[in-house]
Amino acid sequence: MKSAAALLVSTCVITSLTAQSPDPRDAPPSEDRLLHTAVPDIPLTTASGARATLSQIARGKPLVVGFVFTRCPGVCSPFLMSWRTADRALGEKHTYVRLVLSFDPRDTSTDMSNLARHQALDDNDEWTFAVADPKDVRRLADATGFWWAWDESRQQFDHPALLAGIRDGRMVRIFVGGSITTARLDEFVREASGEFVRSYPLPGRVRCRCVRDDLATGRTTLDWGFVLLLVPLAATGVGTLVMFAAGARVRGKE
Amino acid sequence: MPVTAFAVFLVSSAIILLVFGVVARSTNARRDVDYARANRLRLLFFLSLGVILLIFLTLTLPDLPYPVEASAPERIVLATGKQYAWSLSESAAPTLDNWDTAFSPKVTVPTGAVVEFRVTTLDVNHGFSLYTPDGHLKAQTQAMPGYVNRLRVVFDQPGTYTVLCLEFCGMAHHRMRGLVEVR
Amino acid sequence: MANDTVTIVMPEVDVYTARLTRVTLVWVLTALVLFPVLAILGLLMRTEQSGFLPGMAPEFFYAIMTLHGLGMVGLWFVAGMAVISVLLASYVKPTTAVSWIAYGATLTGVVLLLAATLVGRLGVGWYFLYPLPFHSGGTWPAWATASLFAALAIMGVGWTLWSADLLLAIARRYRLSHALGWHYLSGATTPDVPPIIIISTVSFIGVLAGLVAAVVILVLVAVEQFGSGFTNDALLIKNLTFYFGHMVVNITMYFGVAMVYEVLPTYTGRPWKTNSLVVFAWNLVLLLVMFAYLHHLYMDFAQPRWLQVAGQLSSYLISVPAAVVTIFSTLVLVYGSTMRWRLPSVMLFLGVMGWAIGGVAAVIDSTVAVNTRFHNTLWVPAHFHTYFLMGVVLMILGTVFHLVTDLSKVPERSALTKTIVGTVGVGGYGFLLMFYLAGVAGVPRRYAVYPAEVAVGTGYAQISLIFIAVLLIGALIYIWETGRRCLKAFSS
Repeated sequence: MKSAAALLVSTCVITSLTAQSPDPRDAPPSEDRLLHTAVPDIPLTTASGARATLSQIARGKPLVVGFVFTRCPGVCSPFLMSWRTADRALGEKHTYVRLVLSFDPRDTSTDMSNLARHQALDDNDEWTFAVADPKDVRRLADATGFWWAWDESRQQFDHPALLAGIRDGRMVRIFVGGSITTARLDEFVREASGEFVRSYPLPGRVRCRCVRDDLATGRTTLDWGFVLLLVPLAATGVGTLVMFAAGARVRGKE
Repeated sequence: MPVTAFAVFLVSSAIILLVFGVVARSTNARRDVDYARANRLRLLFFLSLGVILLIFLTLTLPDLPYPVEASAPERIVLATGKQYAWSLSESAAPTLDNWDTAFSPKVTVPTGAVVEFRVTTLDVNHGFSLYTPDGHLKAQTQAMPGYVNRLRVVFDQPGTYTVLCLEFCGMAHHRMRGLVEVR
Repeated sequence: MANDTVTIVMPEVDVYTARLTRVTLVWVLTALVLFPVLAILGLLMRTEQSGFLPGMAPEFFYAIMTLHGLGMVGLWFVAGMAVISVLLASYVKPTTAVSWIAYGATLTGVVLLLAATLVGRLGVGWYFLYPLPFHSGGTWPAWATASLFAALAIMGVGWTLWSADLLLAIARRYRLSHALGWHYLSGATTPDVPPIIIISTVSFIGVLAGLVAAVVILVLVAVEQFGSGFTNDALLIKNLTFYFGHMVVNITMYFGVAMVYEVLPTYTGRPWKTNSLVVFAWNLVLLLVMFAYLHHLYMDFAQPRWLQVAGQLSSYLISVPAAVVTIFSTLVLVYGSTMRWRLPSVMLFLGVMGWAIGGVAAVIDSTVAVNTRFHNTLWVPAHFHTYFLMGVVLMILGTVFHLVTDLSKVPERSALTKTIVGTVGVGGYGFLLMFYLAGVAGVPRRYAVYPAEVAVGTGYAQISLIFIAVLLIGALIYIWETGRRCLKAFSS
């Protein structure tokens, strides 16, 4: 029984060690500070060149904003991909608007259009790729906790990977991290939609959580922690059968 | 509601005492067991117990402290526990590094507003609990390391509510407190 | 209650029985020494809570709270195991050597725990929630934490071996489906499997599952402490902790109940045989006891909602076999019988009643909507002291008295029996009532001192002292009477 537990635990450990650890420069913006702050209704130019404001894009629905720049060699692309994957996994579950906004003054709507095509999201009504005036982007970033800094030596921007959840023009949640899982996105969007999320985990290096509700598929995905919870039952079941088999052999000899 | 639960308990205990007393006294006069009758009685007991449990299940299961749909709360209070104090604030939750400067022992909220407490801890498990000005337990949730639990409360009466720790956390567990001023 | 000599025809004592009896008597004597010590610790706690020990440092209170809790839970578990194994010896053959190993492991654990708490001032509570042992805040040294885990590991190994040995003993005589009584469900009555075998099989399977959960916790904690980059999920450890704790306490209860099934019939002159109802009830219990632990986590909003509901459902449901089969059958067994009311039978009968009352309090608290107001208030110690002190302790000690009276042939004195029953009954229930009242008032549990907001707790604690004193009188008389019978049995 002990070895089974140890095997599972070491698998957890290996998973944790090989998983991508968060960039230490991603000091999580303080979500608490920004809760319920009003988000400025900035004007944007979409990838197709159309002009619209944030509220017009949101159309009264919950809005999730991700900040990127197209020349990003780092986290932007993988982050966007994980968002897209998680979003697809959720399927029709939620109605919300996705906005991918560039904070790089060099980016044009054409650049964003190319990015959208690269992510296979160009023909998708639910995803909006856009640019905006640098001053407006700055205002929006301040309200959502996003920041960026130009790194002269590497000739690129330093910035966190962040999703901002906005409802009725107010900040609801912030997600910071290198990638977003289906469960976290679901919880994030639920809250942006006004649903009460009774508990959520904090970012950290905790592994082997109990359960992850993959509500998109209606099934609960068992995280390693839940498997560990079943170890006592399983081990004892096996142990009991073994003991009674041994007992039967003794009875057979008598 | 605690009083109701206690009343149910007292009535049940009285019945149990009575039944055990009657059975004990019955040994004064020997009688044979009519097993058929006993089993009919057992069936009756089983059905009654089943009905009672079902009634309580139906009455109480909808009343879970984890609401599903909820409008945005009017106030959000960040409650952070640490050995041995509660920091309550609407603006920023302290961290281990800035505890001494960011710590806030009191928060003020308006009467009648829906207040959401976002509860977490910086070290061990604590229990976030709200006691009314006259010393009754109003609501509670656990403060777990690595999690934020959200508790929604409406303070109908103004006054000073105390936050006590309801999960044993060390030598000053009984002295941990926070204050919620309701005006 | 007639003042007659208990005459038992002693069967020829073989070497095996003598050896098993000897180790059991050692267990019993040890229990009789540990019980009052641990009870006095409880008295000290209530005294501090009464405000009568202003000089007591809170860390000392929490250290003795830890010792009292771990001690009592451990004590009644091992006492239950010891008595069950000697009762099982009528049907199967437990290994005496393993009992001695478990004894050695338990004593080692006790010494380590005494050191950790009384010397090291380790104060984590009997069930302790990770990561508290590692956050002493300077109260206890690291060696005390190490001592705690070493004690738990050593005792765990000993108890695992012991439970496995007892289960193997059953396995050597019965096949699994018979040991769980499944053949009764299809109408067969042979082989005749007494209730104690079925209940014991269920219990040992349960206890082994709980001990494996404890192993998983120890492994996870060790990996975090000695590994790097691995942080445990507090919720997972909490689930495992309550799985283990709930299991150990419940199984101890079932040991007591098994004793009732086995011993009470000899006083009523009526048999208590296995039938399909008993089988169905206990198999259902085996299933439900695996999930009922979830009722400890209602206030952890991080726990998935469906697990919370499963907790309430399984906790409610598990009361049904207990009430409808065991408790009802106890009453049928006794009703109108030529019951010999002696100390053992009185204690067993009252033990079942205490189990019922404590069970009601438990089911009430396992209602989520109620739990929001009762969780971690004194209602919790109220209910578990009810089915423990006035439930399983009475059952075990009643059986112990039955056994040592058998062995020592020292007759019972009805005046003493009445005194014991009266003082323990009044003292016990009075002491419990103070817990219940305080719980209803919302007074928190595990508080060394009650702050102004819950000052009513101090008053209840003060009143409880009177009841504890009464209870202790009865307990000490019992210990004396049982102890001398034990020693006499040793010499024979």
